[in-house]
Amino acid sequence: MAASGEERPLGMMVPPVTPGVEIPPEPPDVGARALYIAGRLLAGATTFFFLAFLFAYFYLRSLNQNHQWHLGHVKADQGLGAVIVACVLLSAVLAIVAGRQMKAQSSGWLGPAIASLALGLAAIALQCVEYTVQHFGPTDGAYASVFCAWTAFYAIAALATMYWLETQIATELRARRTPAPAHGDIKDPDRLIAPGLDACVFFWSYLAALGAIAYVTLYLL
Amino acid sequence: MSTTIESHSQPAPVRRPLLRRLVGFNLLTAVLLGVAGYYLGWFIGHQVSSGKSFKFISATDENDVALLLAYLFGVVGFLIGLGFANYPVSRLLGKHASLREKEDEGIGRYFGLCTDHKVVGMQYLVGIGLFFFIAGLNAMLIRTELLHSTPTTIAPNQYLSLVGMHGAMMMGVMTSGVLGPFANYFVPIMIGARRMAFPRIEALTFWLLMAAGFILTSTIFFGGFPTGWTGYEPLNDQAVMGMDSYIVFFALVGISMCLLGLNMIATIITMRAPGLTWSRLPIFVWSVLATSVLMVLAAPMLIATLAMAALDRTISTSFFMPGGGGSPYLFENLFWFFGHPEVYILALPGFGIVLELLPVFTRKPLWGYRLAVSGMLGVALLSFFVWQHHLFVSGINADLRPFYMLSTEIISIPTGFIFLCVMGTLWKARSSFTVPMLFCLGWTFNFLIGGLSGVFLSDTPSDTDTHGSFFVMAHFHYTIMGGLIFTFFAAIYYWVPKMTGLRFNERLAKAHFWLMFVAFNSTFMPLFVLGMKGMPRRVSSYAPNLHGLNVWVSISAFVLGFSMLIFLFNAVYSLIVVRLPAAANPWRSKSLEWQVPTPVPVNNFEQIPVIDSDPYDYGTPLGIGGTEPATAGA
Amino acid sequence: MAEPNHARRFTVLWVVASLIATPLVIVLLGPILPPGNGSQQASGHVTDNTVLLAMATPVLLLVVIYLIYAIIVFRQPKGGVLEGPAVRGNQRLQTWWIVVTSILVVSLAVYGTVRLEEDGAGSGGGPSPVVVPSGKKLKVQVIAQQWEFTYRFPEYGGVEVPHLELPVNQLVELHVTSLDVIHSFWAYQLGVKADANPNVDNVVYVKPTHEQTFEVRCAELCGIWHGAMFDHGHVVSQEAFNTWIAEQQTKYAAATKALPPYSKTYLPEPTRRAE
Repeated sequence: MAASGEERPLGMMVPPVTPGVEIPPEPPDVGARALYIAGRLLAGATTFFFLAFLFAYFYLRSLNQNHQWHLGHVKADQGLGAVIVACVLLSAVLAIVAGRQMKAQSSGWLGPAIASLALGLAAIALQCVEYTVQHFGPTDGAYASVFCAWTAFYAIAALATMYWLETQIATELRARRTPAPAHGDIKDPDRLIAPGLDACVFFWSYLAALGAIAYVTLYLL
Repeated sequence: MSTTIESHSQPAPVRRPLLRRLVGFNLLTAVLLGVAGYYLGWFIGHQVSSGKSFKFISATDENDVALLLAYLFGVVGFLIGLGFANYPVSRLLGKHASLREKEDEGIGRYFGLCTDHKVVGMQYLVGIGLFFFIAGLNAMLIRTELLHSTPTTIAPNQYLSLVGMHGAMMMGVMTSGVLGPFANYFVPIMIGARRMAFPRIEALTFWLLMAAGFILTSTIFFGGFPTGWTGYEPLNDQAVMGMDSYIVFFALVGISMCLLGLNMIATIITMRAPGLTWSRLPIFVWSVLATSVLMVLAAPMLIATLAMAALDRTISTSFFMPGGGGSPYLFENLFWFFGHPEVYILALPGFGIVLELLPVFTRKPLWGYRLAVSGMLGVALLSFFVWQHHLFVSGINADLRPFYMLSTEIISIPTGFIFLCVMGTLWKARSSFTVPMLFCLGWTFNFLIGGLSGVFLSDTPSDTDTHGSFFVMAHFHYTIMGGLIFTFFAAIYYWVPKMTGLRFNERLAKAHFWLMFVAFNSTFMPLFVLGMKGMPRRVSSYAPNLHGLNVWVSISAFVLGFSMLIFLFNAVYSLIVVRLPAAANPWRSKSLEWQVPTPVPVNNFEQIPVIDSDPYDYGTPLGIGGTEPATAGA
Repeated sequence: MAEPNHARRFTVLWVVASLIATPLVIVLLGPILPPGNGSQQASGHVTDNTVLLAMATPVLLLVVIYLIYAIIVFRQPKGGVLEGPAVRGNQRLQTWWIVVTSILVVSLAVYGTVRLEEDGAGSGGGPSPVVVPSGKKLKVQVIAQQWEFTYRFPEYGGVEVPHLELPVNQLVELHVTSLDVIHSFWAYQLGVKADANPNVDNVVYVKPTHEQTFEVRCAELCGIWHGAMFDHGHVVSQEAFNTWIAEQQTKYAAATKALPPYSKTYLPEPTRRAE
């Protein structure tokens, strides 16, 4: 295999794989650890993303350029906001419960997980409702701009996390429906789901904490 | 292509008919879906912005909503066409897809979604090379215009677009200039792993970057953008639709960077071979790790900032418009909070390559391994605390200038560590001056000049003279072109023989180095003088008394451009036409990547190696073979 | 085979070169460093630049001479496969390096701070600068817009003029602001640079020390004619300035009436893209 004068066409710089040959599996804990770390890093990246909005909030608030920071009629609905953040927090708690149960090898994790998913989606739906009922739009001063952009990006982040949670649930449901698949990685669904669920639960609870900060900043301050 | 397969001894992969191969998730589908998505977005954009239901979406002649949506839909279509949606959708349905894609094709592996880190590395090398070439051509056009002291060859708005494209492309695409090709290819091999931690994400970063590059290039169809790579508000808000190309480009680059960094960190932490402790990790891997931390944390800030800018441009939010309660200062702060780490994202991999290559060519262990590591981590950490030195004269937090002066000066301490390690490694060495070694030494000189000129910029009083002038321009070309591009070429000459099994013509390579080194210095050294004589950056008209020096710089720049053509010729000639075979380990390196066969097997290692030392086991032990016990320095 | 004492050789080389080069740099390069002695601030910059260059010279020589020395002396013989000594570090040298570089950079930062706080260094100091030089000040507002600078004299009835003249030996308080995008007011020979931001009053002090013509440029990219945003200003005697400003007041009397009243900042119009 070592280099020689032999013709080596460009396409062969990495030799092709014979169909059917599998890459030997990594040690089982590697994928789990990678997911663990990826969840934390994702949380770090998300922090910095929303930090930009938090910074914008306080920066523009302190400057209050042209007295356009907070116009009189711009009033976020604190009640609706509280319901949204309550949904998110409750969903995160349920997700944590599901994660605990998964770690305890209990098959009962599916219930809290599905409830968590439903609550998370409800929060996103309520956020959309809020946009339609609020009496201001993103053009009404700097606060309104920060409010609309921050909550919108938060909803998008929440939606992505809900997708992540859903994949875990869907994998489990499919594995239950077809208990002994003959091929692929789903021989032991728990082993497949556990690290993913763990990382997902961590990220979701972290995002929920960010949501609480967003609520305090945007609605209460 | 058929001969390709026959000449290979392994069983031929299954070949499907041409028509079958054209249908499916490949580049052709991706382009078609990308175009379809583009027009879909364009249509929707026009629908929503002319409708009455969304009164805050501004109806200007220039429809930014439509263009932004067109780009976003286009990118999504492109990614779906490549097959990036398959895995998420199957996970949504609870299926677990197999890891490998494109495993049964020959050269087709390089033109689509491939999760083999070696293929991604090669893709990156060619893809980034393409955009490096385009950005370099822009630079040539800029210098052509500057042959005259008034706008003559190129209209001022086109000139600014060229400046912006050159800057944005170099700062955007080249962020992955080393991490893309070389870290993707070699980090898993260097740490004794069979793949990256997240191979699909790895492939995604590449294709996002390519989409981004093409979007930036497409700005010429929408009037270009006048802001340079920094995209300052409110000029950003004032600009025509071409600005949206910049925004989408940089946001995609940000996403790509963030994911690339995340993948690298996860891989390096979790997938090291047994025995590869942190103190045995190759220094290049350390530099990749430090860079990745910056990428993961700084890039989201950029994405958020650009999202705000896009909202200002489309639905008239007022993040950056003073009249509506916003502030351009906010943009400057957020942008440079990303922008300064970004500078080190470009510089750090260069440190790693120099320190990785020097031991091989000096036949000595790396001098001061721990110092080098702490230098890199120190630079990475401190780079988050210096951003306002870009804003010394802006009037932002003027009272804090002493702090930023101090933090900026302090960041030169860890940078100094790297120089000490370079010098220590060269001490009593047995250096052979191969082409990669020459590029490393070139780096040492260039980065020294870049660093020392940085002292003038970090000092507020003297920054008053140099800020916004050609002096700054010369400074960061010394650190980025002299720092990153020189090491980029060092890495190409050093590692491409491993990646391809072929080597470069050495005479041409040496000619490339010497011409590039001389022309580089001859181009950028006079720019310090021009800046000090009061020539602002990004101008197409300048004082007539600076004409002579500008002509000199332009001619040098053309020679610099010509040196790149030598490289290109060498690459085509040596690697494609003549196909010079490379030795298995031409540099007698002890690093792990040179111990695996060429071409590297798909699984990298038959058996995961067990590591018992760092890869710098060169040199005779102390006091043996007539060598005095060395004291390495005074 | 006696190996020469490389460490001593190199140290001698470096010290001698530094001792020769550093004074030469100070004497020969110092006087021609920008931006000249057009103002108190500009002269300060020349001193700063000289100090920084003098400090950078030995560092530059250290690395460059070392590189050259290493390239010439520490070579692999032709076709040789010799290994170097397996030295992996030198704790004492590393410690000394850290100590010396730390002292060097911290003292640079302290020096820069001291120089900055002395007279503002001609650098944009924000709306309320910490350092306010004492003495009677002439207030001049620099208004940037695409693509020209105009100047308003609040103490002379708020007259706005297209070219700048300043009296010599008079402390000037420049209020830099913008009507549209970010510009940067750069009076090269006076050593003044301050960004012009919309809705921001960026104050900078300068005291021209002799009569001269100075260049005014824009130092922040502001659109297609950024490079053409260029003008000459003049520093003239106090009497000449008085005559000039009186002339301007009569010349622009009608325009002054039509102008909005003098204010620290003026809101850019339109306030939003849509409008």
